[in-house]
Amino acid sequence: MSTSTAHPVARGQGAAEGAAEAHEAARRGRALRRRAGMALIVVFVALYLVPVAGVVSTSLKTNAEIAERGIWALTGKLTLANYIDVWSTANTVRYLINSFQVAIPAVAVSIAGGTLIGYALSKFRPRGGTLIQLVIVSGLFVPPQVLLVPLFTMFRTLDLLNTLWPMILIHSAVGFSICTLVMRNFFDQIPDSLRYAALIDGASEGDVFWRVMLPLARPALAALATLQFTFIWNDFLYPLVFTSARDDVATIMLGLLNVKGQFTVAYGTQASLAVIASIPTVVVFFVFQKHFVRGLLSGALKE
Amino acid sequence: MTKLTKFRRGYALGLLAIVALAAAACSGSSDDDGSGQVEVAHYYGSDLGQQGILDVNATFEAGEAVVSPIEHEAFKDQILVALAGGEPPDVFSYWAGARTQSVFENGHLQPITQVFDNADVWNAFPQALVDAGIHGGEPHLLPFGFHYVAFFYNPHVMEAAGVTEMPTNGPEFWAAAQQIADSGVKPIALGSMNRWPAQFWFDFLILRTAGPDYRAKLMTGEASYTDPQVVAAMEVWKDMVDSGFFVDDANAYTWTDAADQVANGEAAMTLMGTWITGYWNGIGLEPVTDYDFFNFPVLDPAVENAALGPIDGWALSADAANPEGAMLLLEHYADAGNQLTWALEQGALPPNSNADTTQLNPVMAKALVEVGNADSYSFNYDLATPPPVAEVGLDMFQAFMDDPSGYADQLSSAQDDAQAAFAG
Amino acid sequence: MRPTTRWSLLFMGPPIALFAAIVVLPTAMALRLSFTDASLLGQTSEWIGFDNFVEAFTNEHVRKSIRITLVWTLFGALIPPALGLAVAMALQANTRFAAVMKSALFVPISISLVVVGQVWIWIYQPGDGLINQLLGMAGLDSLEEAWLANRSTALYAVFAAWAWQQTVLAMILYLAGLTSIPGELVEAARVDGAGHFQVFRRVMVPLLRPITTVVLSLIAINSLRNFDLVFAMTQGGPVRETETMPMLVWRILFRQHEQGLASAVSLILFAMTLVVIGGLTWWGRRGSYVD
Repeated sequence: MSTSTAHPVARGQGAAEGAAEAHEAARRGRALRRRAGMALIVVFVALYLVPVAGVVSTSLKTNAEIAERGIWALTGKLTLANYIDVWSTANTVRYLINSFQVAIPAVAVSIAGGTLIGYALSKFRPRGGTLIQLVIVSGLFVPPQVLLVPLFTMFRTLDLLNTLWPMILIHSAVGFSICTLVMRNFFDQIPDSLRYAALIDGASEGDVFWRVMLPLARPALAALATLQFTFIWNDFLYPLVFTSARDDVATIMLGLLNVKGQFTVAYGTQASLAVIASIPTVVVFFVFQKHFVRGLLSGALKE
Repeated sequence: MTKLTKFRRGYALGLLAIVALAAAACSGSSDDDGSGQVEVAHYYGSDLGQQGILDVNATFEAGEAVVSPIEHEAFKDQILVALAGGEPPDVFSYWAGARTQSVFENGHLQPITQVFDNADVWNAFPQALVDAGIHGGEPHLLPFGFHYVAFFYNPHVMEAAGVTEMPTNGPEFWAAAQQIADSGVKPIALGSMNRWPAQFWFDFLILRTAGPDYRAKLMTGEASYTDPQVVAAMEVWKDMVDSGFFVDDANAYTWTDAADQVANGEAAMTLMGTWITGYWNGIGLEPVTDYDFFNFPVLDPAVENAALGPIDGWALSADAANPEGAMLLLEHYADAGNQLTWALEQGALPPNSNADTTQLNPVMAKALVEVGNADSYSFNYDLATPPPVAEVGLDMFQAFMDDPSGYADQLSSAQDDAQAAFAG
Repeated sequence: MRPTTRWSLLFMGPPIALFAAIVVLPTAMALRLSFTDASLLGQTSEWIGFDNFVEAFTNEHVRKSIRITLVWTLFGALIPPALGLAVAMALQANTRFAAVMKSALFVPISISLVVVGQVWIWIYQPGDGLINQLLGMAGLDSLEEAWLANRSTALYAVFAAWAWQQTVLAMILYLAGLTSIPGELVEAARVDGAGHFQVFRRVMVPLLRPITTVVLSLIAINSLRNFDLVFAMTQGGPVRETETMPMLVWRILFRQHEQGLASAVSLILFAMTLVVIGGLTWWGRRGSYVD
């Protein structure tokens, strides 16, 4: 709408004014759009801040205050009593330790395994590689409900129910799907010449992988770590089935449910545990946010 | 080849390290050796007398009770998961009736005859309560507290509305409800979000019109949800909802929400079990002055006076890791003094007749008398019919509270589903 | 034996073995179970052929649950991506805020659905819930509603809580996609006389197609396996109005105790997932060949 007016041949005042007006109109149009965009952003931010602020403020109010004025009242004294309460009387510390004990090994194993498979598929190009990749990646689409009963039977036979092992093993294996996808795409982008050069210099395939390729993969690994940690930390279904009716092996997400029983109508106490449960993933996201987006994209998009 | 070996060694070490890491991570949570520890799971949240369990366990000296309190609604699924997994807690709280029968039939319980003998449950508990714990000819559930369902009301609201005499029959109830409604207060609170609080309405309307014998047939599948007896009961219920006697959006509230509505005067009464007194005591209400109850009114004088309520008990898992310790804990739970401690904390009635019931507050003492006056005592719906069937009916009650005018369709689809559930 | 075969085995062997044990084998076991009448609590089971699948497709509750899941997936594929793209474009035009915003918005996507569910229960509360209070303040008392208890609003209410989180996911991905569109391309289109809408349609949409495929795939997977949020908010109620297929499987398994039927329904869900993802992949590929 604004390109034709600024014709280089046009001279004289009329033409110059016309150009200035069109320019002005375009500028106004842009300003309007920007303002509309700003409004959209402001509404959007409010939409996200309010619920988050709701939990945090609830966690800082006394239960009596909440019972009297409701959760969303803006008044009230702020107190840390709920945090002290939930930390000292519930199994909070145990829940947190359990969650870390599941998340750390499972994140490590899923990424290690996915990297090994992805690298082998990309660089060794074994026979049947396409099929292997297909099977492993389709693991992304298997609903957990399909696995529930057979795994339950399996872990019962192995006497692993009511330990943290089921979650560690499941998240490790299920995580291979996304990790393989991401790492294969990543290694595909690294030229083979790099590997051959190192091999000619006398390095073994293992050395090439360990010394040359892995250091290059650091950003992708960080992305996967973020993704996997969040996913595993927030998982609710597997602990619900594999550690039921035992508070001492509950992860923090299951703990949220158990605490609902222990502090039934104490919304403030429940909210404080929800905040505690959310801190680790929020921190991980803040630290690794750039890697996260890149990781998600590199997993699914080949450049 | 040497290169391969070298890498392989590093790789194996890496694998080992990961396994070791995981193993170390899990060491804290492996099973304990069972040295006197008894694993206990129960559904008593802070609103249902949790502190009472802690108090009773504190005096257990023959071992240590390690307790996992589970949220009341989640417990219903979780205990079945745990039993199916073969690694259940040693002892768990459970409801007498069809739920216990279901896990018993599938071989997940072991007999607790030793407990009944050692604690002399046979003689110390009333016969009806002893019977409630017997499955397959042997004791499998130790009654720990029993309850009485009635209209619990707020006397201040009743007084303000001018209701001085509590209703004893249908017309009186109708008149009182109308009077309360006219005073600007909702007569009846109901919190059916978790479905079960609505069942007491269905239970009593059937019990008071068609009687306990017919109801027993309905619970076992010999009668149909489309029978005229059921239709008549639903019509009474519908008339009450249509008259504006119930709070709006019953399905949006829990039973504690409904209890709060009565306590703070938004509603006059709620049909609930005696455990509501424990909840109200916990938020500082005084028996008699702040709350009281009256029986579900007589609707047909020819029908016997049936009492209704659940019995909470303790069961011993067939796969318990420490059955000896568990038996000792159950004996502890059977003790008259401990049953009293629990009854006072939760708002339950103690099954053990030796419990000093003079310590019950006046409202609970009255409930005990009413149970004695009743011609029979029935379990509420979800304990009277097999669990998969109960799912059907509980859904129906919720659908009814959402749209009372659709009761005919609701009954016929409930009958179809119930039939399938009985067959399955 | 190719020289790398040994290395392939060494690299892939252990993880693939674990994957086979935890994912492949159990899927096969689920398939076998779906042809039996196994019960959760009982010990015996019998082969009953396709009965469970027949039951699944004729039972009104299963069919309703399939409908709910499909509606959810459809709305999920439309609303969060569209909103996410709109906000991402607004953010791109206002770069000053983008960095701060992006950081702030990582909070909603890093918290668990269990926590999200808890907050939204409070938002929807009938009495002093946030929405009803705001409606009251605006003088719109007549619109106040027990959002999660009303059979006609419950599903949308739970969906909205879920979309709240998924929109941020879509937005973050689109933001990355938008920054990767070369500015010259947009400029060139402008110079050629293209209007804003035309630039969007002719330049952005085709270029965003690969990322749209990613967004839609992620959201479709999340739609189809939605359990945590429903469990936390409604457990499938009121009267099974929010019973997504994962929730239904839970109910059949742990409240009706029918392992066989539960396996059949979960496999139908698996098949649905494969069809949806297959369709999306085809759509994404087709686009990239045309352009």
